[in-house]
Amino acid sequence: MKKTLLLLILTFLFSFRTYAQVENRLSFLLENDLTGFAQPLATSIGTAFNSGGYHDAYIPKLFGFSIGIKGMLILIPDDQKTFTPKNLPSGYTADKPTATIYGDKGSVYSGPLGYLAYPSGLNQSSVPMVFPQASISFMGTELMVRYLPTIKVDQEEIDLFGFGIKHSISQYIPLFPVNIAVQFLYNTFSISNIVDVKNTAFNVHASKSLGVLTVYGGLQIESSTVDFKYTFKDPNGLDPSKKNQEISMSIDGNNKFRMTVGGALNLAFFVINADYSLGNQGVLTTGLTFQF
Amino acid sequence: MKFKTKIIAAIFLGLLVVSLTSCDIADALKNYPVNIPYSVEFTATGSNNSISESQTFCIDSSDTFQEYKDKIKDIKFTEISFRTISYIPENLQGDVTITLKDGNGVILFTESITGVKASDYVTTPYKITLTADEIQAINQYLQAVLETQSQICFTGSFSIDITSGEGNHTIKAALDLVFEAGTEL
Repeated sequence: MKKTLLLLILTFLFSFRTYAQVENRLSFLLENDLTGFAQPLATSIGTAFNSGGYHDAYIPKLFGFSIGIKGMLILIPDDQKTFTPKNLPSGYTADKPTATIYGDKGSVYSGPLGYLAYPSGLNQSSVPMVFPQASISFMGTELMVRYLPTIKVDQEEIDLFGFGIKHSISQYIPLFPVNIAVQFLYNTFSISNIVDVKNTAFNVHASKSLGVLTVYGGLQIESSTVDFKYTFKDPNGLDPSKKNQEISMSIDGNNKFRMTVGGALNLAFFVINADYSLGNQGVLTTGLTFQF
Repeated sequence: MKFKTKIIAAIFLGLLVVSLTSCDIADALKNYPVNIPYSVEFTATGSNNSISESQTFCIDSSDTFQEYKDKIKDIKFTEISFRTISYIPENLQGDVTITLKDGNGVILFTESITGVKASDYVTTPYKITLTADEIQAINQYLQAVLETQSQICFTGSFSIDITSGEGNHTIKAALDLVFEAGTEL
């Protein structure tokens, strides 16, 4: 059990390190290239935080409580590992794509002022994320909270706060064969001086209990916005006037809509669930929840 | 009970996979390959039919190299190209020879480009294609110098045998190089 706990803590810290150490790569880029390079990251963060909101549409009519941990594995499609730079300086042609944050090698482009080099990516096909969440419910309405006290990782401070409100719809329809609920999710996540993330989602989901097994699914519309802040280092020496300039820019993730299908096992006070969401980036979510 | 044990084992296995993926990402973050571009300029001038210039340069002077200097664990050559910055007279043309030597004076490669019209390579640099042996020689030198923590210096020579263009000749050209430094953050 101790080993499992240690693994969870390591997973948690590593998943946040991913986002805390992208600044080295961003420092190569001006605003015109930031979207192409970092949008898959914005999408991943949004995809992660907009996941794990439910594993059952049933909400106790009197009182309920749950606390658990959710783990996500976001799958990065190949077409989000490269992008073709736009608005290169005069005389330069983007004759090949370069890596996004999840791609491999950064490309170099030859032109009248020397080489224009792009940063390499993380060369990853999946990204993990783990966070805790708790909820209380009363009279067919559930309030979910995701919160972490400020954590220091690699000299950066990481903050997480989120909440969700869920309401049972099926409670108003007597003898309805499945449980149906609607839910609104809002999450914020920040790494002190680099990224500031806001995610929102609205979903309608349904579930059906079959003994200890609950099958569930839902449709969700969602959005994510990431504010990046970093210092441009001008590694190519092509923009000396902008060297050490602070860049501040908002990028919207490409996550707009998803479809989720999953199952949960109810083992006395524990629920183990797993689901898959099909969206701009697929995400496999698992959860371990203590609830009553 | 057996069924429950299997399920719990499966979940732990799932969390382990997530953990291992995290370690994979941690490695990717720790090992960051950085592209280091470097340019060296030559100005050759004279009234003879053959003009040349040599420059010794050290890539340590690159700001990007300096930023990652203490974290570089390996470095390798990526690409090299030649371009013209300015020239006199307007119809300057000739056969260009570029030589790159390492810090010990050992020739790493010599490239001859015949019939160069200076105007052709102002906006579109000429990419120099090196053989596998030449690339290996550069990489061996880079790694050897990196291991001794000395300065990574080269001597580049540029010469042009002029075939067209009257009077006094001046050509300002550049050699653009890119190296990839494997860094451990």
